[in-house]
Amino acid sequence: MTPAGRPSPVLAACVALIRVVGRTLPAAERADWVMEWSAEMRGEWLDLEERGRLTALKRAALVRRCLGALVDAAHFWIEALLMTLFDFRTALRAPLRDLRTTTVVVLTLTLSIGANTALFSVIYHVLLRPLAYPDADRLVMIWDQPADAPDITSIISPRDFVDWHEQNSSFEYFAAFNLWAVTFDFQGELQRVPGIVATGEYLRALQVQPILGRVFTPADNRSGAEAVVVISHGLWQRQFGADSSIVGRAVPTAGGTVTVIGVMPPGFRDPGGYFFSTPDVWGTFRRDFLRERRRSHWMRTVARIKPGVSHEQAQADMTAIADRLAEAYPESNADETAKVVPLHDQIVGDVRQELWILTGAVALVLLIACANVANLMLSRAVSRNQEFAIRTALGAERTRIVGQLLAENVVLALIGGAGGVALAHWGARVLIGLAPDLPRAETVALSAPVLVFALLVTIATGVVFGLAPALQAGGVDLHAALKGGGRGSEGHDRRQLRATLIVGEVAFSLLLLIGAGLLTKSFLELRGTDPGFDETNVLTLRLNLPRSENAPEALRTIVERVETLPDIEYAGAVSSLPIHGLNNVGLAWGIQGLETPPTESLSSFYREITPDYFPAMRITTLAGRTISDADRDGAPPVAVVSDEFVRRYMNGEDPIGKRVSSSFRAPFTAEIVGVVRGVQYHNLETPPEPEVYVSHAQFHVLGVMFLAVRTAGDPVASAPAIRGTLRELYPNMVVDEVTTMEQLVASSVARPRFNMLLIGVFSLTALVLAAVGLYAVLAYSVTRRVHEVGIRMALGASGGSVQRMIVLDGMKLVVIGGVLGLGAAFALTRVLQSLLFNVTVTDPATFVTVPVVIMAVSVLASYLPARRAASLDPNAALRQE
Amino acid sequence: MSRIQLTYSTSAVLHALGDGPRYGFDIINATGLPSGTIYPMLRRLQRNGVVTSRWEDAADAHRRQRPQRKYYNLTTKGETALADALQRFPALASAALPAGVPDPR
Repeated sequence: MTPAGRPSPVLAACVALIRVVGRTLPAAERADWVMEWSAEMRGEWLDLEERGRLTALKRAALVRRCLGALVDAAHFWIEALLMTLFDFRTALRAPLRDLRTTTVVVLTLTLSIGANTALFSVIYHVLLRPLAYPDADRLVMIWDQPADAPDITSIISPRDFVDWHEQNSSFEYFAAFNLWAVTFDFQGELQRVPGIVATGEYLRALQVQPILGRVFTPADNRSGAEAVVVISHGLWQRQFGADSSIVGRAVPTAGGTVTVIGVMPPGFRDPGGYFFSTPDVWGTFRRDFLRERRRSHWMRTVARIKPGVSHEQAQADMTAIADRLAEAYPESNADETAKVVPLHDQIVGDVRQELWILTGAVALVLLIACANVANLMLSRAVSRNQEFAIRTALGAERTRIVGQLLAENVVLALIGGAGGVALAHWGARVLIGLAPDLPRAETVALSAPVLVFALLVTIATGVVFGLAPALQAGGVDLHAALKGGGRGSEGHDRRQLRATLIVGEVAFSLLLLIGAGLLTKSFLELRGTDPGFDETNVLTLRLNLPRSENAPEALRTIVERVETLPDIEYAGAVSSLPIHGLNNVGLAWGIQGLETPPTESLSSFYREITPDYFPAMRITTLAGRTISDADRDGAPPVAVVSDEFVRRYMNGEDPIGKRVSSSFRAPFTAEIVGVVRGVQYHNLETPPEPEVYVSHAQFHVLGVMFLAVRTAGDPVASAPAIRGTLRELYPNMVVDEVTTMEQLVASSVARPRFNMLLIGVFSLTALVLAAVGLYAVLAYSVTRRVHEVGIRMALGASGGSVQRMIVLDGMKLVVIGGVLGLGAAFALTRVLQSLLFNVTVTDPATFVTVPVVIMAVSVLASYLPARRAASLDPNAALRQE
Repeated sequence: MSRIQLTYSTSAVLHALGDGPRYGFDIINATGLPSGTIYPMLRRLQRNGVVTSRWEDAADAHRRQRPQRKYYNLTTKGETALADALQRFPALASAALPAGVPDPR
């Protein structure tokens, strides 16, 4: 004590330091160490003080002596470190002692961590990562929306765009864009380059700087302005040899020249590229939107919200403008409002739900894998009970044994995780390959966040599957373990834990299998639908008919020449190809000659065809005749309608001889001469809609036509000859999108196939894991119950009854798990609703088949260990103690 | 029983304990060795059975109005080790040590 009775602050600090350092020491040493050090410090200090000999020099020496406590403690720290290293060395060696279990564990983990990491790399780059524009969260798209249908968004009219653009106060930039293409003349070779045409603020709104030149200004969009384009880095490299003097150069095209004003950076993607094919060229409208009709809707918009303005404020602003327009132009805008959608949601919204469903599925697989590995580790831990008991007896702390087991499991998990990352690297590419239209797929990579995810999953996995066995080992009953020699010492708790793990595995597998079953059935339904045409052996080409030629004459020549080529059965042209989507023109029609004339106008699709289109696609004629060569200019106009048109609009009357009329650029009327089967023009999920086919020789409004060629053999093999003929006939005609109908149909079902394949693979993995788990648990229990089985058999139990007993043991768990899984499936499969076609979420066939499959697999998994138990020799079994 | 390594520091500590029990800071005062050396060494010597330690009676400490002390003492094995040490470092024997504070019991 100081003379005043207050302890010296220096001494107090020293004692506090000793206390703090003491906390880092092993519990067994802590109290004694702290007490000795602080007692010595205080004793010496007070003694010197009392004797009046606590000089400044002595005080400094004592403080130095106190710091020696740190050096002293460091000896403990080094010891602890060495011990941990030793545990890790043991942890590294332990798996090698039981190589079979280790291999199974590592493979299980590699597969499940790999699948999770691969899927996460897709999820992260497609869904979670912000778009690659500065302040991308301020970018939105604004759509027309029917006031009574909040789920529908539609393209807007240029007149509305002008008003929105002028009246809003929420947007820094507000641009409109549409699909476009430029036919460049590269040294005499015409090439159609896909692009985006937009208003002057389009590229500015994205705030991505060009690497050369400049982007558009509003002046570039004025009607009558010079034709200027910005090109992609890829086009610049491919066609302009990365020539930096490209800026300002006038480049020849099929219809004049355009001046290149800028080159965008590599990897740049604009919003338009997510709606249309990836553009390589951007241009401006250069037309007066005020001359457009308010009712013609054909534009999309992108806008950047001003800093400080919230998304809700922007929406309120747009709603107010739309309300004003609805009042001012009731005939066109009465039931319309405007909807502001964040660009990120717009781009990925479509796939969000599917990706999260897949994530749920793959996470279940990981849980099943963890349960399985935990079970294996439990078995191994049991056989090591003796080792732990001996070590405990020799004084090892319980925490140290638990720590060592955890370390072992984390080491196993890390090996599995490393394999998983390697697998994911490859797996992510497979995933993207399977899902061709995934937005932002090009950005998917094993980036740092993905690797962090893999590491976290790995460590979590190691801890999760390692914790149960480790805690159990920590609680080993010393006496029993030493006496039992490591065998037969499994307690009730542990059996319960294993049983719970198996029940969980079965439930999860069943849930996954039911999901997979529903998706598979839906996919088969989809592929089983008859689209109304025969997609085999049909080559399709897109023809951009030259404006200078007489289109019907040109097409007739093309078809005639192509049909003379070897292996060609029919060649026909059509303005819109099934599944393709382009030129799907819907018109309002009137019908003349009906006894009960329709009271309102009828909507039907309009298609221009040449005579051999129907045989080329094998579309069946149901009544009358189809279009022939005689139906040309000057002959009476004819039309062929689809059966759906007849069913919906003809009131049961004979369609032949009736007349249909409509207006497309100009009014026209044609006589119905035949009826054909309906065709699924949109996709395989949408049933056929009413169609009116007219003769291209009599009506030719659309400049783009598709040539469909039916071949005797492989259609792809005929492609070069057909292209050669076309080039020879019309060297200036751009021919592109050469593909087959089979490919078009396949790509239209690529997404359902992707979902089905992934969930299918996940659920089969789950089933195999669960079966292996069940097998392992029963096999292990047979090993442990050898003695009991021996007694039963010695008392007269037959091999058959022993076998039944073991199988029943397994089936009890399977039935409990199955019931839980069925319950979960009833509750959860509704998330699949939107992905299913012609299948209900509680499809009875699936809900019956899957449990039967699980039961069958489980019986097999239980039978193998049961047979072993039944074949035991009771004498030998009894001797084994 | 493992043989201990007779360094000079160890020998000095053994020598200091030769006169009878001492507590930690007393050994430091006697040998002049730093505290960061003395305490780990004392633990090692205890583990090797050369030295034993015991806490003085709480009542004694209280009577003397000072914190409890932990006294270290040579075992029989320690006496032998001290003899070895003195043979090895004869200078130690002639070195004058400050008198230890006697164990109150």
